[in-house]
Amino acid sequence: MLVAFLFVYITFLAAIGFTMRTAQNPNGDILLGVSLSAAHRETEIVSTLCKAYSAACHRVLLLFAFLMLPGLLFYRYSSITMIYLFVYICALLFACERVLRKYNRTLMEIKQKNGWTCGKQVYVCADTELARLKQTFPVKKIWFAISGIISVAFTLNFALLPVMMQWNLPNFASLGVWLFCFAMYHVVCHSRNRIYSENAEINLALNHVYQHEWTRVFAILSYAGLPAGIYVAVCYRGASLVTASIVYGVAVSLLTCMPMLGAFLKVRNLRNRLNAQSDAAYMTDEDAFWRGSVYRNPNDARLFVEKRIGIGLTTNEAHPAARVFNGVITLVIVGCLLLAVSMIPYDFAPIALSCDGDVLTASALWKDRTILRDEILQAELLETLPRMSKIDGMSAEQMRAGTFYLPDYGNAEVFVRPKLPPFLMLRLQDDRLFLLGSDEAEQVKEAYAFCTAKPQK
Amino acid sequence: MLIQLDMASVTPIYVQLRNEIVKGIACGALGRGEELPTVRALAEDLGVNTMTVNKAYAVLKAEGYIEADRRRGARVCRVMQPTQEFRAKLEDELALILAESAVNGIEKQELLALCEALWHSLATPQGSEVSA
Repeated sequence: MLVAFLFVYITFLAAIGFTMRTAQNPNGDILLGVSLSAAHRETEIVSTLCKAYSAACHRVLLLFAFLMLPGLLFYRYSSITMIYLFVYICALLFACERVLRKYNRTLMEIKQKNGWTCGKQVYVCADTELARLKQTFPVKKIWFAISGIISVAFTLNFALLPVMMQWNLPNFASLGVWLFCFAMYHVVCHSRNRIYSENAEINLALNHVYQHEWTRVFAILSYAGLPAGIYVAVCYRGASLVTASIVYGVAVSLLTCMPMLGAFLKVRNLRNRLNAQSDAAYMTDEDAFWRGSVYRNPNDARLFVEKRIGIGLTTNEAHPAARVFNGVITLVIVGCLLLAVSMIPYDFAPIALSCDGDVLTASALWKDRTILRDEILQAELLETLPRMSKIDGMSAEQMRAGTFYLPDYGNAEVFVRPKLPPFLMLRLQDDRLFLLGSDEAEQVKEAYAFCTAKPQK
Repeated sequence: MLIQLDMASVTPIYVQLRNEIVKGIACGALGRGEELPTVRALAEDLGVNTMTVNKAYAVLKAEGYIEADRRRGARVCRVMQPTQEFRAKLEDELALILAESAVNGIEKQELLALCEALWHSLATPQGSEVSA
């Protein structure tokens, strides 16, 4: 778990570092989020500002490299680690945005003071040749057919699973992801064409490549939900939860990031190369619509636009759908935070076993479960935790509580601290199974003695 | 041909669109007989209402710059002859421009030189022919 959290911290810090670094390297005519011509980009004042920005970025990244250490100290407590990670990511993004805005504003002031202009201050532009021929671009909806069929098959597969596993979210992830990707394909690939050059042939070629690449990206991403179905199937068959989760995370990350990165770099490099060769680059100054990394242009009908800094898409805040999209993203983030907060009891709530008369009481998460001695068919004291996969409940580092599938036993109600053996396995006369543990090892042994004190039936 | 619209301008969008297409025909960016994009495609790329593009096309058609066909869509007219209405309109507008120039102290030679320069800036004043 420590390695997993360290991997998340380092990956996130490296991604932010890479993104911040791209701001100081010209992307077309954009430097530090400001449109500047090549001649102005090479002036000493701009070079000095870029060096100061680079130093500020290094300071922020170094600070946050140290700040990840406290989060790792509590890696055994999933809730605390997740809350710290959430706060850490928010603080890092805020700090980077502050640095970027500071230098972006300074460069804008320099640009205005010197009267530097870059490109045309037009608001809307279209190429008649491109608009006329865009209907002839090949339709690639067929690329989504195979992933669609597999997704439906995976979703229908839930009927074959045991009843308690049927309504798990991953069963429906493949179809949900496919629908999301198909919708995104329509939004991103069928939006208005982009003007890169005054040469219609270059515009046609680049828009064709853009549509082709992004259709391919979303066609590949539509498979990203399938590992979730495989993950459920593998866990159901008793595979290690941690191993399955790591493999699942890596597979989804690769499936998501690599095609997107490839498409961005291909379109961007091709655009820069063609424009460098043709001397007909269509340059526009859209600085008025950008505030740091936030874009708001009411005259732009696109929902998603290419980021000026880093790699990826950002929303046009002036678009009505942007509020809905950002609202959903915010809900997901807040949901993750609430999930982390809800996990606090699983890390810190006491867990105990007590015997009183003919009743065995298991106390966990402020709830008591009572088992009559007469109901117990078989009791077993386990020194190692059996393999299990979660059906419902919570599987945290400090506590497993809920219904789990144990390949060697069957479905059981589990209340244990995985790191604190021994564990008491009880089979009742009605064939129910319990796997119980306690903060005190002695209590488990006493409970086992209590359960075996009467003759076994 | 690139069409550029200024959304902050007081000039209506359909008028700007009409003016851009006329300028495009004059400078040869749009050849005689060249097909224009469909109303829907152009409106999508400009991010404006289809009715706006439709209105601009209707004005261009009424003025004889383009011809519209239900099956083949809109295309630039192959032959454009100045009509009496156009000559009258030109005279009106030129009279106003000359009056404004005189009021603002522009000399006749300066005005004629400017007209000459603008006329020559049109790459092919008669428009280029596009094979069918």
